[in-house]
Amino acid sequence: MSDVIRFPHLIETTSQTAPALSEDIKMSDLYAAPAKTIGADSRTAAIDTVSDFIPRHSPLPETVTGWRNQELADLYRTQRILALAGITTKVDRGLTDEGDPWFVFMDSLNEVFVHFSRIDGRYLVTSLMQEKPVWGDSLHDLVSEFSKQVQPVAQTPGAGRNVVSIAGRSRNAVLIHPAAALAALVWSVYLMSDDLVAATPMVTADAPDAAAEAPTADLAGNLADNLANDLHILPEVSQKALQVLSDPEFTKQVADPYAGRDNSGAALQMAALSTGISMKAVGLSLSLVALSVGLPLLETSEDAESDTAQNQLSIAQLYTLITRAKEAALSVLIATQDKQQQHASQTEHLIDDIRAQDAVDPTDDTQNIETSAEFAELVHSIATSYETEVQTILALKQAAAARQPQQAETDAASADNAAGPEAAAAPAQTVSTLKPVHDTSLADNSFLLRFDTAFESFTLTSLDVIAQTELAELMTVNTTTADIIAPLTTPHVATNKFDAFDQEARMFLDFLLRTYSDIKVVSLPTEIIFIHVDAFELADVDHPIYAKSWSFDDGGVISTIGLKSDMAQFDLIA
Amino acid sequence: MLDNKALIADPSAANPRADLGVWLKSLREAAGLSQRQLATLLSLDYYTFISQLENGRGKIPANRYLDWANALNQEPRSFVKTLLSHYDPVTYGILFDETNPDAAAK
Repeated sequence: MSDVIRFPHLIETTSQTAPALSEDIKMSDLYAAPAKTIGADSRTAAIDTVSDFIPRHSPLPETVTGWRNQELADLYRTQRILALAGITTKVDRGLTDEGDPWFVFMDSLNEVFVHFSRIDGRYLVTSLMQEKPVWGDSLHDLVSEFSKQVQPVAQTPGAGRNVVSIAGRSRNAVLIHPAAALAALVWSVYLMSDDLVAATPMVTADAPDAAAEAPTADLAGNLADNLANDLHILPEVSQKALQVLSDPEFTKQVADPYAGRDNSGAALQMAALSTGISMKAVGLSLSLVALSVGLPLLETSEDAESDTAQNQLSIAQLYTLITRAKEAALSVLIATQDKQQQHASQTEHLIDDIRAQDAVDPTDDTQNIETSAEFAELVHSIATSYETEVQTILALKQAAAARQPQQAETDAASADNAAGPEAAAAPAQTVSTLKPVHDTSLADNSFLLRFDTAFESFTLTSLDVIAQTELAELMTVNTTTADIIAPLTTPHVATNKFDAFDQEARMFLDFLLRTYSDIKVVSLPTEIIFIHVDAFELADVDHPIYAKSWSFDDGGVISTIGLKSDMAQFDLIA
Repeated sequence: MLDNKALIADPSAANPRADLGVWLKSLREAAGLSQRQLATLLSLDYYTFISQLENGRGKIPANRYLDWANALNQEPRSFVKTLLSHYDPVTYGILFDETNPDAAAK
């Protein structure tokens, strides 16, 4: 999935490379000027109008040997996540006589069960579950290739019925951290191998022998401090599952399938226990990640034995319900006037659905996992998180309104202002505090329909949808729905006057792009907007979201949306 | 960075296959083969497997013992016997341990 949201451009433009943060930068350098000569492939030209400030990874030089630091970090993090899920693995790595690297995961018996390597610049993964290695252009590319090519080996007649793979309808539905996907791949291999499951010792939360090989308190504490970083890469849905499933009250009511297993006493596992994180929950999260990226899973015998008819729910159902909760919360809250009321109603429906399915469908053929009435809390938790997400949107809307109050007044006083809002005088204010508020004046459904139609050719994830909706609002404050599309289709010279784009602004953008990996860049006809997506999750009362814009002499605008604290570091806050 | 040492296989720890890896490497080098050339001779999909074995990780599949012996110019029975002594010392001991009267008699 691209990190760049490309808005449609009706004007043909020349393809040119943006002089990223170079000296004497001008807006005309960032935006492609109307083309004097249209290229042979106009679609290509339009795509190239996206000024890409995102640092790109250059192709791996032929002379590079060994793993990159980031690749090693991801591989070791995979091992730690597996440990959190209760799987003890050992790893080893080395170089061939030509300098090509390899990295293996081994079970407790020191038998290799996954082999990663890079040969002549191409990556491969092979495992006990594969007849042939899977090749890809990167470690993370292997995940998608693996999901396409590898199906579980049918070890017993009828085993295939327990395979769950919902790649077709879930791919890209959830934003997956690459390292999480990598961990899910190894987890998938683990689950697909009965021999591995049987041979690999796992620890239990209340194992009496846990102290026998327990690490020191200091070590466990240090390790626990790092767990948050590892768990942070799991998608939000999985983290919500972690929160609910790790609740002691929940785990008490659910039989632990790992109970009674041997305890290897690994330090990481002890650290995980010290944080109260349920290994079962981590495993479930990995399963969710695996499913969401299309990796196959096979049920473990432990799950099958410990299931009860009353407390069964397939992973496919779970994932579907979580996705429904997310989508329903978003669509209801964005598209209706009384968002909170309908959101609550929708959530109740979902909970009713879950309970109904729990009661009448205990014999699903797909992989079964345990659940209980507390699963409803999971859906509540997820729905609530997206309510917060939408409130953030509303806060942004209000910020947009506050951004151009004078313009709004001008529009109200001059109904025949054919030039649109951008032609009106703009205020000097450039920074706005975004406070969560409940805005009851949401755009109506017709607006959404019109807007969706304009972007129907784009495949956007939920965050992208949020961005596109909000950015449209930023561009069309206090306009009628008929005007919504106009700024995107009509080239014009904006007259917004913000602070001039100067060296400080340049340094801040440079900082933003170098510091965060999740910066979305939206290119509009006369504005480029840099959105620090993770800021919406990091934001709280002490760390509010701010917006900041700079203008150029030629009318172009560069805007950023991110944490106030970051902007304060560069003295951008008035 | 989280302390990985706890779970990283310690190459200095007792690993019966480490010695075997060194031995396999010496055989390959004696045969004048690079790792990639040996992998080609054995029709392996990825030559990094050779390096992995020579580092004492993993093992040669039993159905390829003969191919490996031939590629490394080794007498098959002796070659497999050496492999077995590292891969499955218990079985090897039962079969070939000279202190075992039953094994020694055979």
